[in-house]
Amino acid sequence: MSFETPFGFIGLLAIPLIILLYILKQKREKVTVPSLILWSRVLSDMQAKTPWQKLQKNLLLFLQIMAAILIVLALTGFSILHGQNAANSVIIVIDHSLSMASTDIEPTRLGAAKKDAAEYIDVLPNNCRVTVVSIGREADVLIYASTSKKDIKKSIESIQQSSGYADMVKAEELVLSLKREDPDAQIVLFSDTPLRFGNEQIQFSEYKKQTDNVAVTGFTHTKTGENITAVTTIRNQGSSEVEIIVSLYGDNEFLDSQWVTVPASETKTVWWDRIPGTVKTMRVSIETEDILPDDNNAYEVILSEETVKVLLVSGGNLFLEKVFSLIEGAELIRTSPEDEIYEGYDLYVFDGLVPSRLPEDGNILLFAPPPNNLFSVGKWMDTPEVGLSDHEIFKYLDKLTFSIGRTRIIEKPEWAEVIMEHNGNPIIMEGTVGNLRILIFGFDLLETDLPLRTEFPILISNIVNEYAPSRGTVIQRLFTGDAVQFRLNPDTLKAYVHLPDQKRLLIAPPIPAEPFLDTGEPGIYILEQIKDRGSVNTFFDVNILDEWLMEKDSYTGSTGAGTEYKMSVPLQKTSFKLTLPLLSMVIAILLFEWWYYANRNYI
Amino acid sequence: MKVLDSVELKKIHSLSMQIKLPVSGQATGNRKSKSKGSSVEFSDFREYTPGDDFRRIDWNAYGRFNRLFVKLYMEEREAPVQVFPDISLSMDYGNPNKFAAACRLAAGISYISLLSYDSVYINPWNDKVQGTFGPFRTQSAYAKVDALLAGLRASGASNFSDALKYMEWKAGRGVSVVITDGLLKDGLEEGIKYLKYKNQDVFLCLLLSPEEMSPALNGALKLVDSETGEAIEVTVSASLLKKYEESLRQHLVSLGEQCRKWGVHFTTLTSDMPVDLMLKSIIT
Repeated sequence: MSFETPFGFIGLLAIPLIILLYILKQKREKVTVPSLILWSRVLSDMQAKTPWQKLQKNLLLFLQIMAAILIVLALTGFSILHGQNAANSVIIVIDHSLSMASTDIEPTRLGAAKKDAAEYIDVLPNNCRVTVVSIGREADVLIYASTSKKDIKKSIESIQQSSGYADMVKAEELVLSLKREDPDAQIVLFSDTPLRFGNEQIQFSEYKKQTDNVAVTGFTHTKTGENITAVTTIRNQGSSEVEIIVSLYGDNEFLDSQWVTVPASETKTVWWDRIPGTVKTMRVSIETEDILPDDNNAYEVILSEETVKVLLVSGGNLFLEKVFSLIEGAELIRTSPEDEIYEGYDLYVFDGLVPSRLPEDGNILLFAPPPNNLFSVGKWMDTPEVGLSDHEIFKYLDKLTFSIGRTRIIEKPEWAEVIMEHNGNPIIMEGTVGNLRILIFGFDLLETDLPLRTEFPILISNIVNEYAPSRGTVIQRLFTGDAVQFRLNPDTLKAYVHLPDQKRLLIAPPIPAEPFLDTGEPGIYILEQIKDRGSVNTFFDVNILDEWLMEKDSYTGSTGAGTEYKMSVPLQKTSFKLTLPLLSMVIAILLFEWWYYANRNYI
Repeated sequence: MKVLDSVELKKIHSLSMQIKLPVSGQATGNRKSKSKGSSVEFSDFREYTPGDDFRRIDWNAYGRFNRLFVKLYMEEREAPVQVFPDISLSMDYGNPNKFAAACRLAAGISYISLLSYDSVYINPWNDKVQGTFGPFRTQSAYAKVDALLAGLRASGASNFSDALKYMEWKAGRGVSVVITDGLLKDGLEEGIKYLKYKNQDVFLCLLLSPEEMSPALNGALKLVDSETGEAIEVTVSASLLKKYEESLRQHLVSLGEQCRKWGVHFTTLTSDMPVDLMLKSIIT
């Protein structure tokens, strides 16, 4: 038994009103008759023939109260649950991906799915084991093999709408592993997409009435001289052509607007020209309403490319000098190794030496470090083999191979992580000492063929982007739900993240900061680093992943792909909505009342 | 204002009451009396005893039987006619008004009784007899009767048996004509029995208005009793009216059967009947 709109119970206030109206019932016309003897005799005869005369006296009142109650029940969306589910074990899978926020089903697809799931729980046998799985970018088990309906419902109620896509592969893996543990379990899916779980048969409760949604699927920019040019891609997921208004905002100020016609199931590109170069953040927005408002916005931060000051301390390394001078935005200063205080640079490159006193305001790159106080350095190891690494400095360098003549034998300190090693000896490693990040190459560049590789400038560019503090805090291409590890400046004392809803979260200390996880909401975020001399703000954007594309890819990756899938059967609705029968009963009562009123003899 | 106009009087002139029982009375009328006396109508013979009027000796019988016989004749005496018009408030109802119709009927009965040389007493009653007016003996006394009836006004509740109990009666037989609507809380039974006990030849005239016979009521009403002021709330529908009429019919049938049992002349009249028709209904 459930009520879709409990607010309808307000209608019960009509019942005292009806009773009041009966108390203050109509004043009858007074008619004088010679005698009541005959009238009384008629009435008493009729009463004698009616065993339920007391009830009859107020029959109309009872009928009207009954009609009022029935109308109230109809207003509340009263429904009864029926049917028996024979399963002893059930895995309930609830999709809470972005598309489930669509409003084509009231209140949202997810809201309806949660309600139906809770109703489904009600009709399960009491000893039925229920596992609840929520699927989004991650698949989570919310409750495992529980027989407590209260706890199960609580876990269903706790499912929050996410802004990401549903990762079908993860969902399938998790559900299938649960199914393996309990082969008799019935899988019940509440989703807007008929997901597949291997070849297991599932009961599927679908939540999709329409697909009339238009989404911003891409937003990027480029600098064209003083101005900025932006490009937006918009996809119409519906089955009919739409004409929409798309607006561009810069730093929350309106900049431009365009009428865009997007054919059914197609993508349209919208260009924005002559955006002022002073704009730091942009938002593009579809102003026309559709069933899923969450994907109608996209955000973009215009990165300011500040000059990175690099100090190269070397006895002479032409390759390093040349390569740093090639990197756009990097200003290289070369100095010879002297024992002095290093200060005022973003990145310090020590080639063949380790200073006795580390600089405090920039990160450090070491090549072929001699024995020093920071870590233990031994003799040389000849011709180590070079493996591949997926570290940031090797980004875009999947096919890089190079040879090393010899490398230092280094004992990995506790503060360091190995990036590349040979037989347990680190060849490349990185770590953090205090606030400083240190990248250590155990070999001398001059004893490798790395500088001769075409990928060498890319490697150094990656190193500058990763280790120059001003570049290190640049956060690019984040999607909702992504975790982000901020590379705070070495001299940062405290750091906050300002969320799009104006909330401010402290992320440091401790330094280094923990991975930041509160990226659930799309929008412009601000990383605020407070230092001795003021603070530095860095903008970054968090966008919604193109769910349609991601789910398509993810779907292709699941095991059921490519085969005709016939294992999904519609979930038998266990609740029977009584609105129509209730209203029919009201009409029947009113008809009876009318008939009774027309044929009755007294009140 | 007269109760009966001259046209109505003319119509009822020829009517006379048919009375089953002989009445006892002091004045000579044209009713057969049980008393044997000087009359033209022969009744019986009996032997002469000293003191008898010797003028009544039948000499032909003496010639045949050699004994003296006296001829007995049915003495014609006047019939004391007691008229009991109900003047309770329940009579003041209907169109034509029941009370007016009752007065007209009382006047008509009085008129034909006076024509027959009967003495007439008018006893208007409600919860008691409001006075015994009469005797009116001659035709010329009708004017007084008419004036008396014209002066009556409806009042009070009706209780026939109580009314009769406190009435002064003169001994002897007579005719009692009760004019009422019969809608009495305590009924008519006790009163009728009392009249019979008083050796009355009773004519019960139940006078109802057309509105009582077929009430023209409809909808939600509060019905108020004209005598007691009591009220009941009803919603009058066609079926209820049908039941009312059925109840009324049963009431009349039951009353008629009781009257037959008691030897009472029972007539149902409606207030829209002309007085001559009412009288004919009573007589026939």
